[in-house]
Amino acid sequence: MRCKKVKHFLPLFLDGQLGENNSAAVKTHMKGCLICSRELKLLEESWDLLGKWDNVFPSPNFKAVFWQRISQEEEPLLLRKPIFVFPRFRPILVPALASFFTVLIAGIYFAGLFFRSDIQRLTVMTQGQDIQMLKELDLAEDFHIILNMQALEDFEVINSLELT
Amino acid sequence: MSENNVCDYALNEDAALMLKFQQGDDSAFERLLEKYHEQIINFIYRYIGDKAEAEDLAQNVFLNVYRSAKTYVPKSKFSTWIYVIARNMALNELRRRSNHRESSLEETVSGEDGDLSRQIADNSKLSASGALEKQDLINAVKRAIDSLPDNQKTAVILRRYENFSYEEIARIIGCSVSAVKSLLSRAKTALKEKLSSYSQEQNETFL
Repeated sequence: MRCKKVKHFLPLFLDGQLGENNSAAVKTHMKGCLICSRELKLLEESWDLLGKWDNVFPSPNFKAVFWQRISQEEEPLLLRKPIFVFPRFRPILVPALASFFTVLIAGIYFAGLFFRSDIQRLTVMTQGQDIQMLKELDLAEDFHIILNMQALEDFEVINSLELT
Repeated sequence: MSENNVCDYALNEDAALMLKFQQGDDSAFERLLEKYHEQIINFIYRYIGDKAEAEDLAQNVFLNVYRSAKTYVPKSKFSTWIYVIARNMALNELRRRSNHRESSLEETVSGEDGDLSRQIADNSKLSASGALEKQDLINAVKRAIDSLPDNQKTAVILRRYENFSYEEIARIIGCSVSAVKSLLSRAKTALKEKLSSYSQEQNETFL
């Protein structure tokens, strides 16, 4: 194996990630090549030098700060305002809406009263017109009979039943 | 116990905690927080290089997990899921700060005194003091990692500092295992170039 290829393999060889055959070839090459041996040593040392950068220790209050942040985030949820029937409306609109609906309901009620009295007046008017019409037809003297036409008919039915 | 069984156990344990939390058990989330908070802080810290900001972002990662717990479905390992969230947050933060960072870097280069942490590594400037030497080395490591492209950086951090397998790294980055091998190979070569001046082997050769 040539030096160029060995140098290409060295990082993986150092990490034990080279295949069995290539690993054996690199080892054989290294026995007779000082340049590649030195290259491997430099790679190994530079990798080891990274270990000089020590770990840092977390601040003792790291976890406490975390839970504090969590509680701060959850607090607004607990204090959240109750959900409205109409969640899209702003609270400031609620009195205005209440007034509107009150006026609407009252309007419907009074309109109902007005139309009902009008209907009654029309009925009375109709009865008055009928009487006038009957009077004009000279049936006024029998008017009380006509008004009780239903009772007269019932009486006639009873009479005819008795006769039979 | 085989490695697969260990992975399955971890999957079941974390997933079970998340499912318990879904049912309203806050102590289950407390356990996940306890288990992962240090790892996530350090993971983000390697990206952005600032502990306080790393903690802020880690807070956001856990808030994100907390909020999305209701929709969590244990399809993959919990650790993969949380690292994906952490990586996205770190990358977003880096992108957000990129303009500011470029300008501050320019200021440092143009300034007379300069900022040690931003200067190009130079052995001749190494202090005799051991502490300063170590700090200088750490700064060099930070710069070397920081100079890598995003995916290479992620692969290096997960492999070197979190001991993740190639398969797990592939799942977090969202690529194939062979792509991870390629990313790590290129990253190691780049790191060797950037850190060779700090290498014992290099110094011995020149002596």
